[in-house]
Amino acid sequence: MVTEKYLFKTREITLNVQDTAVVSVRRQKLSQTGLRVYANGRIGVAGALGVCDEGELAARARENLSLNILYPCEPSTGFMELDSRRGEMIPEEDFLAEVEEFLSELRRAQPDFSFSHQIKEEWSERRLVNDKGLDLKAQDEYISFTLLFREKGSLNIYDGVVGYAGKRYDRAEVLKLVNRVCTAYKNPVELKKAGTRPVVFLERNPTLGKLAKELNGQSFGTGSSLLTKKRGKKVFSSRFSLFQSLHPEDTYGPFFDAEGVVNDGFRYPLIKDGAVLCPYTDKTTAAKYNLPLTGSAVGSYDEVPKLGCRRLKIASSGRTVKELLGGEEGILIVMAEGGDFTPAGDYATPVQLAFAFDGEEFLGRLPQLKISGNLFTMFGKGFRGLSTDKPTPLGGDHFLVLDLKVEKL
Amino acid sequence: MYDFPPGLYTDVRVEKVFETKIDFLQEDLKECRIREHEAAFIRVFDGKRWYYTSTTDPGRIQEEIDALAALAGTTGARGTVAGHPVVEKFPVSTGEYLQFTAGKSIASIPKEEKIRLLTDYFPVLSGVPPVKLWRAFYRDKREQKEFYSSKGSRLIFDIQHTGLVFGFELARGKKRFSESFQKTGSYFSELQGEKENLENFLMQCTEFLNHARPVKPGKYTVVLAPLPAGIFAHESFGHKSEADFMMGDENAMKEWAIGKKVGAEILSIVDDGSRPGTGYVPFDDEGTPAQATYLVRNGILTGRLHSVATAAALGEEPTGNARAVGFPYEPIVRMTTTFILPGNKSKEELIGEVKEGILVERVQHGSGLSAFTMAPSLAYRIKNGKIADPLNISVITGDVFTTLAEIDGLSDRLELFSFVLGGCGKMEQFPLPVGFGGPYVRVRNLVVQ
Repeated sequence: MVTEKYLFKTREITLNVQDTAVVSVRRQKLSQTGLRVYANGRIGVAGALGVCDEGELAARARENLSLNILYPCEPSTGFMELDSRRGEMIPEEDFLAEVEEFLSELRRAQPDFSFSHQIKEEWSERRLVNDKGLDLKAQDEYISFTLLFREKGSLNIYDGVVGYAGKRYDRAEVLKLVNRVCTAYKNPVELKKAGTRPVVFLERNPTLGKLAKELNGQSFGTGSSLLTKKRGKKVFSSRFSLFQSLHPEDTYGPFFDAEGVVNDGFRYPLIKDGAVLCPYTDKTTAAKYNLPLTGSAVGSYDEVPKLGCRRLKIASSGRTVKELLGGEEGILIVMAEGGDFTPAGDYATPVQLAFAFDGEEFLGRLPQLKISGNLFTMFGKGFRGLSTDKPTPLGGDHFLVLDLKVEKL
Repeated sequence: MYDFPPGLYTDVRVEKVFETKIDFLQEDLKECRIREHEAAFIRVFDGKRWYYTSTTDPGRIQEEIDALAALAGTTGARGTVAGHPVVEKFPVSTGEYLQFTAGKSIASIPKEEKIRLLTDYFPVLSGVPPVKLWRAFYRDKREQKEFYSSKGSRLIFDIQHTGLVFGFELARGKKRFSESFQKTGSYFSELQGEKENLENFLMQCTEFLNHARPVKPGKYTVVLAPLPAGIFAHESFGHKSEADFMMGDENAMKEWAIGKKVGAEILSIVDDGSRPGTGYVPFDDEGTPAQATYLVRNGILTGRLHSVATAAALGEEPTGNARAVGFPYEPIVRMTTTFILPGNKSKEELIGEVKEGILVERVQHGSGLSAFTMAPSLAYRIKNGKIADPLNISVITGDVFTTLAEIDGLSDRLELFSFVLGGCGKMEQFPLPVGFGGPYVRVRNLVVQ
């Protein structure tokens, strides 16, 4: 019998913002402990919040072996510790005062807008350790500004969203980003030309959700994925490569998955030069369908690890967004909610807020649009690339440029 | 009970939670988790700002109250809270309102019985050839909440819901389709006897997989079944009725003045936390009792959803809509069960009057900003008043206020829906259990892609 302990510790300070002022301060400190036992190809799990009796947890986990939850895989082994904190956030004791200063400057700079939502800092530690020799520990931190903005008098709940999440803070840079967005918003422009146009997303956007669905190892293995029979075949652009990533530069959180799998360089290639290499898998899925193990198990502290999608990261094209636009005017998607893919991969969505974009400046607010395309063409001949640059030098997502059909709504 | 610091408003919400999560991937049991915990959320208001914290150790509540009071004392305007309009608005609620105790509590049902409930349905799922992958889920949750405030509230109440969900992915040749079937209730006994309904739904999905064709994009008259109609009410109007979005904006308050015409005359929308289901909250997380709030009556804006703070700011009354998704979070303005009231046509009349249109029976999701959107799963062409062939549709959109004015028919029967997977998201608080529904709703001129 192998016993494994999964520890979550989180500390955060959250400021709720309403009408560009802090209305509440929330401090949280949470610890969660999970105990897993593995025996005879089965797993038992138990968990608790806060201070707990680990002996009692282990007893409950052993009792849960009787549920016969099959786990025909070996627990992981190995040692690694990674501290991804950079110490470039706002010190906790200064957080409220600094955010009040930031909002004060924002009120002066953008008197026609009301900002709301949340500004937060979070520190986390996650550890997975077992009596077979596994000991993984990850520490991380991030600061996030998520500001919904509304032009005063607007009938909408919000007119747009501007934000930044990363491991660095610089008041001037965050203000610069918000001001760029608000300035563009106040300048309505027409859509110069409908038809197939370069559409610019931030990297994490709904189109990746469809890839995540189709690259799910279970769907792949059972034959319900559109990519099931495409393994080893080139179905996307030769410029398109995709990784599953827990690299600290790509995401926040631990570098290991819920089963303690650590990939070389923290990334695993799923699509290379347009060819489907494999779906993402956890240990059970990899074994069941004879697929490579990609380390994509998820699960809360007190759950059986299961297959889930981690961060999907597109390989950089090595060019700036301006170069990817190639002199054309792009459509920068700021807010596109409510659309979806059909089962066959056809995509359509309304775009509530988009800016005309030359690769350097946000030129103005476009009318409401609808965009459409197909999974295999948008990441096929319509894939221009992932930029080297980002909306703010502080960090966050890169730009993704895809050719899609664009029309006025 | 607690030593509330003088000069400040303080409240404490204690949550005692029992919940079960059982997951099967096809016939393999993947999860059987029972969580039980007691935790508390504490708030202090100093007249200027709120201070929040939470604890998983009920023995530390007093310590946490004192720590928040000290924080308020250093940065706030301590001593001014008496007579503050927000504090004045807080109701004083007392009493014990426990409905789901002893044998009525889902905690009294052994986990083996909950597993058996699911496995009894497995032959139905495994006997349909196009079903390539299926999952079965059981969920239940009983929350007993205690609410204590420095104004004198001393309240104990409970809520409970339970449900099962079967999700399945179908494939035939190059065609793909995924859907789910679910049954929910307040009591375990309500989940029995759904085999025939599941079989019929699987047959409908198989037919859809085999025969659905892409829709020709364009503008259509669309008949929304009660489920999509409820999503429409929730997304397109419910969120706009949450009063916190207009805080501090006088222009928005004028634009959203009670009495304004916002939709067709036949349209009435209600939010009601006293309806049984996943939107049931007899008291909200500030101790305000549930009530039916008419958001729209006969096309006229008649009400909105409030917490105590938003009601005080707008000079209105709390509506029982301050809800938190769990003990680490503060209550914010949320919906409960939101629905469109029925009209006077039969479903057959409503569809029979459409020459060329679309019936949307099920949707994957919806949204509602200035434009509302809906991503249908099961949708059908209506031709000469009859339901015809199935259609694949990516998205249906329309301007919210134009669409509300384009509603030209309502069927005569209200259906309400509850959900045990997913829920409503707002700020970081997701998923909050809500309910919604309506009759069949006919809308002209929707953009279909």
